[in-house]
Amino acid sequence: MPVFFLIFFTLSAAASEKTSSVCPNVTITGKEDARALGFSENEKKLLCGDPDTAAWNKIPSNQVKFNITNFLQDRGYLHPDIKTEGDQVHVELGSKTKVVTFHYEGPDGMLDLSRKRKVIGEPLTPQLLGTVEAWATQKVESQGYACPKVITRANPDTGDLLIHVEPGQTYDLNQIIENPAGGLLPGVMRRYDAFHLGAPYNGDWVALTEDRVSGDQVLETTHFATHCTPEGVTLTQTSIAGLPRLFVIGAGVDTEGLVQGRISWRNSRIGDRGTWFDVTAMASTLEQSITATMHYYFLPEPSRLFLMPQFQTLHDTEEWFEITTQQVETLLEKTWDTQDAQLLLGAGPVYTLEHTFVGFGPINSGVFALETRATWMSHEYEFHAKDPVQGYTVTAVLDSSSQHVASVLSAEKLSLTGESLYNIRGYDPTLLIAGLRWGYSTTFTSERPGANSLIPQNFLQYLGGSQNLRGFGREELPGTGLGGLTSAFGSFELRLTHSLPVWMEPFLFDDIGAIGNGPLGFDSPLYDSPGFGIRLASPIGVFRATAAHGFAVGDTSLGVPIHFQFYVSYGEEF
Amino acid sequence: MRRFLKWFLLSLFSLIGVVVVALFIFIQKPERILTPQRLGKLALYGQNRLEKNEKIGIQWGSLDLEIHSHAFFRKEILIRAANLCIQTPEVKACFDTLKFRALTTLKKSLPALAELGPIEIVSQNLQIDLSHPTPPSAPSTKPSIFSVPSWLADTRFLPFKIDFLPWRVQLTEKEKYRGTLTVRTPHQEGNDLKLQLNASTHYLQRDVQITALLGLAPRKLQALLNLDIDSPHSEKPQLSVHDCKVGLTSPDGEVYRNLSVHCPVDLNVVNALAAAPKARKKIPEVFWASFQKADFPKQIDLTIDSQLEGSLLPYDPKVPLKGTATAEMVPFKSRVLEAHAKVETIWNGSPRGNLDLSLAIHDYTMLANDLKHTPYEIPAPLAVLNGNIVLESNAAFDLKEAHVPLRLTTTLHSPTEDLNTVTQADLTISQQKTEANIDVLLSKIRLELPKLALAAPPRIFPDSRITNKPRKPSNSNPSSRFHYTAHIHTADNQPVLIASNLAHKPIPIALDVKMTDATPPSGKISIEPFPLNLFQRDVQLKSFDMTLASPVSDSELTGEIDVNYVDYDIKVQIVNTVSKPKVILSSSPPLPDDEIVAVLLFGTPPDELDSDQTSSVGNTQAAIADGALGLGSLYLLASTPIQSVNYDPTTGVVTAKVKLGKGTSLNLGADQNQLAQTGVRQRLGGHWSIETDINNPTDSENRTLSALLVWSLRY
Repeated sequence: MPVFFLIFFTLSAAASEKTSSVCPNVTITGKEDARALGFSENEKKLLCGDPDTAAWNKIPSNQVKFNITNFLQDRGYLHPDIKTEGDQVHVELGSKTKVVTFHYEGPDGMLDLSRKRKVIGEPLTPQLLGTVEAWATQKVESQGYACPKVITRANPDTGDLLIHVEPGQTYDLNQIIENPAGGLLPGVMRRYDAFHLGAPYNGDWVALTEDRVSGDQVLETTHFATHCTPEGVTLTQTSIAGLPRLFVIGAGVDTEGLVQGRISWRNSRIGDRGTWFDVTAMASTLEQSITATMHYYFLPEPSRLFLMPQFQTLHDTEEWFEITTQQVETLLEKTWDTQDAQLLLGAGPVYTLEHTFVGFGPINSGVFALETRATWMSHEYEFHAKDPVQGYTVTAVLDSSSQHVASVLSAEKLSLTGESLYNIRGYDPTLLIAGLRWGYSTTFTSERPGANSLIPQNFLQYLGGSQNLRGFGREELPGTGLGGLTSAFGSFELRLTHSLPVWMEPFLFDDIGAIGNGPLGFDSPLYDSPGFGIRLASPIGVFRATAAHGFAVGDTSLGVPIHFQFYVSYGEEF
Repeated sequence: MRRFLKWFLLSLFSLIGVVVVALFIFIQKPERILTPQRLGKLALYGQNRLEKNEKIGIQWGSLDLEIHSHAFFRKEILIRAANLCIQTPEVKACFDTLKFRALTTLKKSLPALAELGPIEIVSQNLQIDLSHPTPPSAPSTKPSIFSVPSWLADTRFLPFKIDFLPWRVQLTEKEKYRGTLTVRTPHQEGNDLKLQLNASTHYLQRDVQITALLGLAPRKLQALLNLDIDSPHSEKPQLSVHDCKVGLTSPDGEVYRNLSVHCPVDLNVVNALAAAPKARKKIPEVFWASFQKADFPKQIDLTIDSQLEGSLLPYDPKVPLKGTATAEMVPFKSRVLEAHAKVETIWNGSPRGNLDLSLAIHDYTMLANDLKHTPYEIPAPLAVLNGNIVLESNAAFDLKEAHVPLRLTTTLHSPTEDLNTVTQADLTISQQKTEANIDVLLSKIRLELPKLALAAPPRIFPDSRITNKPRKPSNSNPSSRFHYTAHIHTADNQPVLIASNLAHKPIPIALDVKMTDATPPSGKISIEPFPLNLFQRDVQLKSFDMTLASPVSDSELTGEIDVNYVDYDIKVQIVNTVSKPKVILSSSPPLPDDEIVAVLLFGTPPDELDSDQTSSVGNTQAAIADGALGLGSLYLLASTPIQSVNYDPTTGVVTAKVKLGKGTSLNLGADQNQLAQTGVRQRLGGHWSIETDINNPTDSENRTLSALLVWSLRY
């Protein structure tokens, strides 16, 4: 019974109307009080008067009535009952007008309103109309209509919202005018293009190109201005080079690494072809590393082909081992962009020197390998990288080493990883996002993991952790600590988005994996870790927390750690 | 033959003798021949003939016709009827009592009426139905004249008593009137017929009382009229005509040719409009309430004078009217308003007239006070002004058209504001159309804005996208009878001055705008050269012109601002349209765009900026390139010490942080639509700061909060 009364009083309080004052001459009665309505200082001056200005010292009540009607329109109150009595203005807020119907007027098939969420049932405000117009404009532009005309119109009495689209004509991308910046050669920036000259214009891919430039930090910012001409779309690229050297220090929290610190130094613009060099030192309680990377554009003309020399020294402390690794590699890489995806191909030598403090395997080992890698990533995946909703990426890496060439053993390690996201029913904003993450790694060698094995830790496979099986500890599997030569996992996740307050997005997941002691195949048991979690897309980054339980199906004679596992991560997606 | 002739003459003389004797006997004693019985039969015969030939039905309860002989030539005729009813297609009249007496005599060898009266007519059912059109009757060769005929010149009138209680007249299907009419003969002086009429009726829900003293004399008709139209809501009549003298004279005794009128008329405007539902419906309720409250004239006193000559009664349009007619309003003066109006018409065949009108609000402050708390309350910043408003007109009109020049002058001022304007309108009104040429001269305008905070401006007008009105047709109605051209402009060297705390000196705006009923506004609105503080320094706005187009958002812009530094002079040009303003930056000596933006926003070249500032320069450039900044936002950004600018090209939202004081800043959403973010950054010193942000503060569901420790260095 007390619970019943508590609920009753809570609901009553929520539904009750309050009377509050904006200023002595303006009172408001409604479910929101004056403070909650959040009138700005400028708005208050037009309601309460401005004592510093003689002509505005007092606002006549009719003028107050007119002004507050406009201000309340911004807040969704389209039918306030405003009464004036002398200088007093009293406002009965009434209820917010909400969008009841949502109609489209324009060419067939251009917009699918059933996929646009957060419109019907939302308060009818100018801001909502702006949001709808921006959404429609983006949708129409992404279909090649570079300069559409989009107008909304809403009826405050019926809640009918009409969006009118005049798409104009489809345009091909005709010309790119590049304003030089940062001393770079003309054409250098074209290596970031997610679009093609002569292909239909797509506004999203233009924005993606801007993001790539910013992400690579070669230039501080770049922006494309779109102009429609009879010949097609002309993009004018204007960039701010910014200072080339950047020093960044940051801090984060992760239950896997506990306190994390990172320092990096980058010269983002060396020479006129946009070569960059980066040194990053990272330290957590489990891992400490220093990595120096360079993207060297060695050809005299602007190109997507570059050399990527990299040096890394790493100290890694895991449950089953503690090692230090020094790795030197030089890959020749090149990117290609189609209208929908990007392909990255790279190949080159890698030399890895590993010293094992704790764990199985050789104490010191050196492996010289030829590494080949390929990444196929859809533009959609890349475009939505900050808020993943759609797209896919697949990466394949093959490392081949020979005992006869500066290596302790002959081995080939093949890694295939991928991730795909699907916006179920294509809602905007999204409602349900289904994600599939998978990985398969195998090492071909005559050696087998064991106490006297020559296999370095980098060639061994472990599972567990927030990256694959979230019901187990980081690299906890297999429970023997010996590692395996083959591992595979698949993670399925279903996330509910844009439905709960405070950016909360709950999700369910199930991670399944297996490890094999030999190449290609798997041994029993099969690991499973169903669980749930919550994602918080806060303004300062994405926080994820998961809770899962690890299970093993099959042969558990070697001992499998079965327990609950919790993770809190910052900055990780999926 | 002779014998036949002898007999014939003898018979003829005998017959003449018999006729003479019979006539003598008839004149001597007519009652012996025209006995009541014979007269009754004669009446019945007449009744049948009228009903058969003229469709006039006459019935009576009793009818007595008597002739009495007082002397050889003095005969008394008496008619007494009871329940006499006469019915024609248009008229149905029943008389309870009808008594008529006349005394005839012979004067100058001609029959004459020595006495008329007493006459008594009492009717309780007089109905006249004119709602059915009747075929026009053939015009009589000689129009009748409502006058006392010459043979009544020496008639002595005895008392009349005529009562129509009530009478009903139906003019059309819906237009019906009813009332009472009594006619009496007052004390007679001389032999002129004087009738005292008292009538009352009900017209448009108003009681109408008419009393008239009619003087009927040969060739002369005089009336002293009093008319009151009562108000259902007030004791004061709506319209009162008192001692209105109307005189008609007929020099030839056939046609009244001269008219003289002198009528004082009092019109109670409030009561008149209050009782006129059709007229009231055309007046907005809010205006009506304000009118009643303000010290406007509630009663208009008019004097109507006329001297006309022509064929007035009966009216003959072929005879030109000559003379004058004037209506003059007695000058009115209240605490707020002075008014005077006079209409003068000169008739010389067709009328030509003049209207002199003068209307002055001589105490604007009082008017503002009177209109307080009414729907027409004068808004800020105009409510604090004092001075006067004068409307004058000297119109000329004839039957074809009226030419109405109007001049409206406002001379209003306060210590910080002026509103001096001269509006001249030239109206030409004809049956086909009304044309107006309007010229509005803003001779001295100085207005003040409230002290606005450095934030997004509040919404001044409702969002036009949210409306329940149907879309307007793009073109005006070409068949409209009203056409106008208007020209709104400022005088040379007298721009409109707008004082705002966001500009350190009043903004001088010159206008030269033209519009017509068929075309949208065109012309130019210019900001004249003036110094202002932009980009944290004193700069000179050299020009800013907006050439109006339709819609206004497509109006063309050209503007130029010079920003002078020690090492270089920067020129900021604003071009394109209001909805998509483009900013073109140039400098002497030439600098790249990013360096110009860096210098303008932060006062230093890009290589001296930190990462945040460099990014802001890029974002500002991008926003300018996309036309994402409206004119107001551009001005706010330029007039505010900027800390950082963010721009999202996907949504077109620009967010700027501006410095409020040492170490703090306020986010300023400067997108075209509305403020999106507010928040505070607190610098901790060096490169460290804590940023807190509140996103969507007015949307409780989407409100977000953040706190971040930041260290940054770019070199």
